[in-house]
Amino acid sequence: MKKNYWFVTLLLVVFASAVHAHGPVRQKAEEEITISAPAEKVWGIIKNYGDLSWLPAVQSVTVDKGNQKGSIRVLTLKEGGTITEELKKYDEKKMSYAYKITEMSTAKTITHAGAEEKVPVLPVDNYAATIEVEDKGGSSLVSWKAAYYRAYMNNNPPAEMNEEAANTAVSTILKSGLANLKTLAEK
Amino acid sequence: MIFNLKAALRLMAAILSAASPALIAAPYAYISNQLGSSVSVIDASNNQVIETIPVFGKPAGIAVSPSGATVYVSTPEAKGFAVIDSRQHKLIAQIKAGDGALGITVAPDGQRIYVADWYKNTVSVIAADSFRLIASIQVGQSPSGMRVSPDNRWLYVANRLSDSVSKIDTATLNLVKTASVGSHPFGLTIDSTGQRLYVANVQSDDVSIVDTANMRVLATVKVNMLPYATALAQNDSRLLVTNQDDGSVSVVDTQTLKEIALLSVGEKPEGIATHPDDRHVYVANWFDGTVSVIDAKTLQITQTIKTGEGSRAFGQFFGK
Repeated sequence: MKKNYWFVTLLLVVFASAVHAHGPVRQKAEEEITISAPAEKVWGIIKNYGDLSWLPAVQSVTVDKGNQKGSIRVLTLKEGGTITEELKKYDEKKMSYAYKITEMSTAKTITHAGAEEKVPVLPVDNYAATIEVEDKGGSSLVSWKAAYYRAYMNNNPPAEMNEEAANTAVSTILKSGLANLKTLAEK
Repeated sequence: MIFNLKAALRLMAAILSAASPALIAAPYAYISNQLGSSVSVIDASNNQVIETIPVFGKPAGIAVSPSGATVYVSTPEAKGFAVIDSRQHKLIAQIKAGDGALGITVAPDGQRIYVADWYKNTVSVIAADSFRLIASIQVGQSPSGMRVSPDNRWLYVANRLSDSVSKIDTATLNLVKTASVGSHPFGLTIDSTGQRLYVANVQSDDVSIVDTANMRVLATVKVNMLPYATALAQNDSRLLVTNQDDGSVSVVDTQTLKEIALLSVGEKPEGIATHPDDRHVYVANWFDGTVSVIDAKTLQITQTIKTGEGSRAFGQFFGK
């Protein structure tokens, strides 16, 4: 009992002086949707890396090497701005591909901690994602997984560039994309 | 307040030093679950998670004392590290040590803990008995992985943004030499003779093999996408490297310096460490929240263990 008392005291002392701050913590987002359509049909809608007509936030896409590894696509967003992505893995058999954001345009510039900070159109850093279609015997399960850091890489981020901003923005894209894919595939 | 803290630290040090390795039955693997704010304790004799210890502050890096009695876990958001008593599998203290505590390692004699500060570009040297800060050493930018040589003479620090590895004299705590390695070195390991470092370079997708005597790169071995950390097995004959963005582990023959296998593990494999049997290698899969067990002899995945959200386990996470 005496031991426990001291441990608790120590924990309290240390916690009381600890200030909450954000460290280098990677975030994840994972969305799944079941679609009442054959896997080939669903994969058929998303299989072209250069075609994002199924993703509501995107206005248009240009692509340089099709579905080849290393292919670069540039997304122009409906709300303005661009996102550049590189194809890292493409697996026709597994009905899956993985990509990474390599560049983004700035949505706005803010002042934080006495410095000008450029907030990218998607407030994330080092973003990598995989989308995959699984055959469920007549229907399909689509999963979209992303891993990323918040946009602000130093200590004490501004609200526009913190983990919450990153998570909200990513999950919005993933959810709206999958919901629209379902609508298109079940037509 | 100060008096209370000191008294508590003294008492704790006494308890820690009383810990007997004989009481620790099986080898345990301690897996930090960064998004789940916990540490999973795996009993490696049967690969069961026997305990999940809540740890505040987004636990990331892991170091186990040589006796196996104490586990140190870096907690970046709590600006320091947590101390776990491995006999009771309980969190016993949380110590402040820098704004961006991430990389952590412990000296082979168990007397010092080294904590890298990702933001301040320093390594804090901390006495394991009192948790007193002995010194703060300036290194390169964004220091991450660290290892101490088996003879306890040198500390090696991978500096992610400086593309270098610092060699520090543990007696004088001075920087002795800096090696230029690949792009964005992160995790590293040292062989049992202390002659070679194996440094994973996340941006150049390769591993730099550094001769510790002159701090020159002996060779560079290409692996797969985003190599994160390294571990040795089978008498240092095999090097295993987690490829974060490929969901795989590269196995490299350390004689021929050729990749001899590419094993599929879970998604976003990060921390990697070798079981004391020198044969089984455990890999924390960050995205899946699992640990893959690799048999480094047969090059097969023998088991996948469910752990917690965001399993990272960056460091030497095996207790003896």
